[in-house]
Amino acid sequence: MTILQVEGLSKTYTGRFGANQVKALSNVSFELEQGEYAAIMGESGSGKTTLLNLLAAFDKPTGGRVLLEGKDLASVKEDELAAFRRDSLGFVFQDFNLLDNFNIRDNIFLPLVLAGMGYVDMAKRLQPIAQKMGITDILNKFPYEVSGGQKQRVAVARAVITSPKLLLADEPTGALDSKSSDALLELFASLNREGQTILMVTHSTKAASHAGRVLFIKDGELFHQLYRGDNTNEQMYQKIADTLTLLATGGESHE
Amino acid sequence: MNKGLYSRLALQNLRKNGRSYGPFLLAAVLTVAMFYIILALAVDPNMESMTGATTIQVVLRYGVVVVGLFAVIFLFYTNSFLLKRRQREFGLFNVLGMEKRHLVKIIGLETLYVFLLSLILGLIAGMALNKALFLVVAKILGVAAPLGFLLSPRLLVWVLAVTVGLFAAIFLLIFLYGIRRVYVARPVELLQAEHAGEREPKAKWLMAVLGLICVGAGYYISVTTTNVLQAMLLFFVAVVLVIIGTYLLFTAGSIALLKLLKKNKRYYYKTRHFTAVSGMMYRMKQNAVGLANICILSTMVLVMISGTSCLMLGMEQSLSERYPCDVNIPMANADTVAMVKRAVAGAGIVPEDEVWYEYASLAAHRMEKGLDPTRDYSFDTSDQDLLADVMVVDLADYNRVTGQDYTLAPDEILLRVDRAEYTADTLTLCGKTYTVKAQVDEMMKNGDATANLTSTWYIVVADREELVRVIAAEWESAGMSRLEASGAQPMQYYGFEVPGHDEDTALAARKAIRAAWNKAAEDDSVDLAGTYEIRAWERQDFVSIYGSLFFLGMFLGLLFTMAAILIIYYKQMSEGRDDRERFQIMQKVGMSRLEVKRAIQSQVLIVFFLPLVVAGVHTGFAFPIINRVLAIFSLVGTDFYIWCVLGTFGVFAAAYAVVYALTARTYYRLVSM
Repeated sequence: MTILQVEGLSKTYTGRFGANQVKALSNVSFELEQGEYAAIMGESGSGKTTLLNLLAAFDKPTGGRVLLEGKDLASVKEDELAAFRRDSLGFVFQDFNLLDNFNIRDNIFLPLVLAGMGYVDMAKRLQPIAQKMGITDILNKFPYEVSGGQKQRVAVARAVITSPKLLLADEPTGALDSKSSDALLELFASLNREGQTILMVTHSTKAASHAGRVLFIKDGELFHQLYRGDNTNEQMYQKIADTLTLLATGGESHE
Repeated sequence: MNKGLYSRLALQNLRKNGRSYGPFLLAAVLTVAMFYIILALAVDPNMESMTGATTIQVVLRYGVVVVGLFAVIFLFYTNSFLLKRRQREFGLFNVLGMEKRHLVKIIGLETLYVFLLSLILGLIAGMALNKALFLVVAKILGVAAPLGFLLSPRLLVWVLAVTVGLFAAIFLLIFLYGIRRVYVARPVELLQAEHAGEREPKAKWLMAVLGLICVGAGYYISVTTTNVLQAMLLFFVAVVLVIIGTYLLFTAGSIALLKLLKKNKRYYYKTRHFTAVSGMMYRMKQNAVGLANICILSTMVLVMISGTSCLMLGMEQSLSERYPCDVNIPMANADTVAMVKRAVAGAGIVPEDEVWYEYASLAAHRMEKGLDPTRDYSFDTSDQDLLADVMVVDLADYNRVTGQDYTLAPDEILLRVDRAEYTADTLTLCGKTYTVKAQVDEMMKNGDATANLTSTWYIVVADREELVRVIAAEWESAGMSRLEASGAQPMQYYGFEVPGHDEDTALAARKAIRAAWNKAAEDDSVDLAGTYEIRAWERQDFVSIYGSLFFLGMFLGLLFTMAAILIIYYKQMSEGRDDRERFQIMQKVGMSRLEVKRAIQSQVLIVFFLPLVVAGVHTGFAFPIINRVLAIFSLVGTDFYIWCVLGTFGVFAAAYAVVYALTARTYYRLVSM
């Protein structure tokens, strides 16, 4: 079943007085199946973040459309967007985006509290997730008291506690050391095995090599796709690296 | 070239930080101007030449001290606030290779520019407003301001020198503080300073409870102190207690309360409470002292302005209580009254509505069922409730003066008690027990009796014989022989209005009476007794005291209001910056813009109006004690003071709301940027 359809998506930023038009994204199309784990790769400025912002409806496209389970994001009313985002999407950010003034437990509860869930239900949901993320011991601590890897696992817990249709991750390993990165990627993989659809934006080859599919973006255009097939993580890593070299040296599109 | 670089950098910094330095500059300008004005008024010889204005200058000199102290604390405090916010900028300069001595140079130049600018603008504003405020003072005093007023060159130089000296010292202090900040911190710390201290505050229960006790004790003193003479002293104790308590409650109490709310899971995990409780905890940790400052400043403004305006606006009423007629001759005898009448007639003035009666006035101890005259004046303030001031008149005079038609048996009396309660049916006075036939409202006016702090007992006895007997008995109890006491005579009160209550006529009457009085005292031609009190003359004294207090109250009120507003503005700005990040995150995890806006609104509202509400409560609880302190100066009733307090609070709250609306806009801009 197709969970996400991106059709001819374009985004042009216009400077003041109509001058300096910048094409951040042009005519990007792809689909994501239920249970898929995809990575979007590209260098800084390639349009990755723009794409993610459009998928999360933080921003409006200038052309094309995004359908989540067949529902056009543009048709969601402005005042329903927040609730829609809360119920359908989970976010993991590079800089964690945890709130300093909440302890770990409350940070994870945040989207549920915003959705108006009662305390007992929330606690019920938290317990298995906390265990899976290995953060049961630190629930009463504050973000400044725990390590970066732990913070990111908390952010993942916050993202999945609403059982979102799609988990969006923006450079989730960007601020982590290699050991924490590995642990987080392993966590993503295991979430994916349990059926969680994941779309991750990254420019880390290592991170992308865990995905089932890798999409490459260059200068706002979809440039290439790689499918894992039967490849191991290592083989995938090599393929991605080759593609990136090709991209950097200005090879032609394979499409 | 280097030199040019530093001054350019300093100027650029000031411009770049315009949103925070602008209000500071404005506050500095106003503080300079207000200090200059009050100093100039306090030493202006023209003030002295205005009638009765010596009092106002004494009051104004206290004002100079208060404004000076205030300027030091206020400017230093707001500046430290600004510096803290600029730590990051300094850190960046430091990292970019600027040495600390260069930073010091830049801070020095910045401080110098702000100092010069605020001094020059402040002095210009001060000089311009000085004349205007002089006219205001003249208006309050009800006299014509002398024309062509200007400080003499020598005085002007002196006032300027003092003002410049004071503010140079303040800015030097500010500069030294800046140096300290730069030298104490390491570059990395400078860069991260803004993110330090994000730890969740701990609840300090002991402090919170102590705060409650302090405020409670202050309130208790205010509510329970009935003794007016103790009230003055206890008032200051209560003020200190409430100030300490306010700081404790804002800092420790607020956090403790929020912790309690957080513990209640059912309450805490609600969409609206969730962000508010934790957000407030965070805010209170950083801003509790600032909010307590605002609260105390607001309370001071409210108390000062309501109190002084009550005195000022109630002055006419006080005057007419204390001096019931235009011309009053209390405690007189027949010869003196006759002399006064001759003098007034001699001046061509026709007395109207003449009042004349005989009375006895005695001090007594209040007993369970009566009054015991005493000559023991060893005055202990704690005995004040037992002291009674007694005025006795006879029925004939009473009926004549008040237009009543009572009859009394020889052992019956009419009674009126002010500032005390008496419910028994009988009353023993000087060894004789009377039956209280009625408690009456109507009573002849007597300024001496109403001016008392102790309870006043008006007793109407059946006839003049009875009146004389009371006086004789009192004289005897004071140790006189029966023979001496047998010559006892009541005192006389004589008062009248001048035609049309004309002030000049009243003053002319005073002149005539004074001349006759002095002459009689010199040649012993009249057996003088009592004194003469002319309301128009006394009014000048009242105006001088109340007017200067009123002026100072308004002046300081304005200054404190300005301070409160500035602190509020800075709070809003720094909080807006802190909150931006937090609300952005919340939006990312699924809070709608509307919810964000609502959450911001409720937090800002609470933070903003908490000090005002607490100030209101403080003022409310200060009411009883201030009401009693005011009773010493003024004879106006509680009702009047209530209106003064409500009026002041209303105006202040309105001004506060306007400031809120203005700063809230800045805040939303910062948060939603």
